[in-house]
Amino acid sequence: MQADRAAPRQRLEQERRALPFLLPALGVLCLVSLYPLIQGVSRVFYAYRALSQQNVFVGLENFRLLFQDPTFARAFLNSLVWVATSVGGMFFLSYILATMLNSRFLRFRRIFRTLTLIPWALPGVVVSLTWRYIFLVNGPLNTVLAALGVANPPSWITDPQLALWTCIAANTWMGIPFVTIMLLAGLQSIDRQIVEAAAMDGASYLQAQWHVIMPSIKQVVLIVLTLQTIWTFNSFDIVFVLTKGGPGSASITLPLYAYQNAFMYYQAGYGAAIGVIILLVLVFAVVLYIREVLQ
Amino acid sequence: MRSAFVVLGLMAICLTSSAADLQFLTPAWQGDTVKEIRAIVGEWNGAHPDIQVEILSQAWENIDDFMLTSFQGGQAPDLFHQDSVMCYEYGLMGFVEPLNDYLEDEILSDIPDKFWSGVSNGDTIYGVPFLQETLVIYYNKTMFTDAGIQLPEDGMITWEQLREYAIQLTVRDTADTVTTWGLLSPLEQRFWWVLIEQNEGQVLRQYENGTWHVEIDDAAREAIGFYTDLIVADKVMSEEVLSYDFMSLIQGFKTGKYAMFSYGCWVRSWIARLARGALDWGMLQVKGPEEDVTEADPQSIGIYSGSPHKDEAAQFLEFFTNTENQARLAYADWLFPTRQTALDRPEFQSEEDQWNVAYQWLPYARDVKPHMFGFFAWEWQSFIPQIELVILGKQDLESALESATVQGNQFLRRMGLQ
Repeated sequence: MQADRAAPRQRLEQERRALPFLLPALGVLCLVSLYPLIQGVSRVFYAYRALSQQNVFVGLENFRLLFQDPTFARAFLNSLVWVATSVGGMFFLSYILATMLNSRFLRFRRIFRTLTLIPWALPGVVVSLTWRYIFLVNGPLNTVLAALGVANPPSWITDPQLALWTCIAANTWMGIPFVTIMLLAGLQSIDRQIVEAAAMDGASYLQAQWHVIMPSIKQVVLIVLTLQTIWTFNSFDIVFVLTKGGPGSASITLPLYAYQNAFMYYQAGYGAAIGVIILLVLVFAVVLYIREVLQ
Repeated sequence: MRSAFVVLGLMAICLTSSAADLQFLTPAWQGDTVKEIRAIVGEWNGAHPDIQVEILSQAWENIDDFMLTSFQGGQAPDLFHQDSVMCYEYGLMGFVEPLNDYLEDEILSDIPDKFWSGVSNGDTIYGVPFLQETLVIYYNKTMFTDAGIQLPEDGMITWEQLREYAIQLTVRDTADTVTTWGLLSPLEQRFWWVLIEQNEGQVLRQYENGTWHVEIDDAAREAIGFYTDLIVADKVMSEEVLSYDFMSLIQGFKTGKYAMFSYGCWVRSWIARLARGALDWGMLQVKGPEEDVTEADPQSIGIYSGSPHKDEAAQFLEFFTNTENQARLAYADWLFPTRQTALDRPEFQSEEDQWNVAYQWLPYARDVKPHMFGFFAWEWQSFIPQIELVILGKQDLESALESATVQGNQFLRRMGLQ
């Protein structure tokens, strides 16, 4: 009983002793994370006025303009489509791939697992440039389509109806390795006897997947989906290299629009306002992620 | 403690008396140009042990971001090479040192006013213009001969002739698929600004109170329409204007995929290298209904206002842009110098590699884009996206220009230009 009462006090004492050791790390974290955040948010209240060549305080004007800006609305909508379809596509394809890689009947499993990781090991810009080449009007993809008899192969990156989907396809390809490896780790942790028992009880393959395997890897799935949502929402390189948000604003996303305003249009305040909107959206995902991790 | 002070004192003496190290940023990328820049900087470093210059490279695609973030972070290179218009914009933002006190009368009178005005705000000069070009139409001579097209001797053709030739030279197979496009004028070149200027049109208007407004007049509409009609109505130019890549363009010209294409005169270096002996090519210039004018796309060098070595940077700038060095740099880059004394050199008028052809159109060359702060920002944010939709057939020109006017004025208000 006495030992029980002493335990919290002991833990508190340990934490107090650990604090000085943690302070340098906390300091660095504040410097590289908190300071830029405060700087960024403080810029939201300023706008550059070209005629007077001054940064002037405008209060919440940047947000007011943001909600009247059709390009912002387009970017927001595109970002939602970009995240939902990219992450959905990544998960669906990765699940199939992970299931195949987890199969006992697959030979050379180690080689396939290593090959799966290759797209993830490549820098985003390299991947984007490669896909840009593939998707060119006269690129390899359309050459193959033409050889197969397609009369007018599409303009993948310049057709407003296709541009965003082309970016999504490239992004999905790049995200598959991480999701696959995570899901594979989850699948490998499942006791095979449970699956076999389900089969003996008459569960079909799909029923076993849905009612036995999925619930068993629920934690992994949620963490992977949350992480991919955050990364995909913030992703910049693929759209920047493939379409630069065009044609028109057909494939523009929020991070790209923030960048354009801050670094191309001299509108750092406006760009920062877009950044704050991104931050608010992602806070939800982060809260979800932390909840899952803590559970 | 005393020894620490001694060390600090010695360090301070060393720092104050040591040689000035200057950083010079350039986006030059063609092999011969890079070699020439290194040679000139090497000569300077050899002769000035107390002012050493280090060359930094940055691609044209990223140089704007790089400069802007470097300025904001107070870490910009002492000297930088950029488009003239960017020197002007950086100057207005206070990032570039006014050069009036550093420039001798000799250089001021040797470079035409049309180039100084591009880097100046009123009387304040923010850069030294040192390179210029002419925007030309490259054409496949064999295709023209085979089609029986007789070209004027001076190589200057009207808008209508350009259109007619493009129609005549566009070839379709039995399935109506184009095998040769009459013309390719990449969107990136924004050829319409030349056409607008040639037609004395106006897209941006500055009021007497200094504010800017998008007001697209009929002459400008006609010029922009001429460009977009080549794609959507005449179908002699491909939608590839939006997504072309440079090497495919040159290869396409060599293999006969394009009969003509528009680009700066420096592209001769690539055509000459890749198609020497395998292609008979020439250059044309489009003359305007109202005025003969072409794009000069001048490049300049500026000094960072935060540089601790502005005087030394100005000395290097004077050396780098003297007559001899301007001529060397321009020749290596297949461009033209802005100094008249450099331009008078025989190499720029030689028949070899058609220097003389590009040279003859220099009197028409000037910066055709409106001299408005934030021009590129406005153009890429609200104007070009609308033109893209017209090119893709998703919008007609009238509605696109209407949207460009409304959105453009909104953007200018946001920029504080209205």
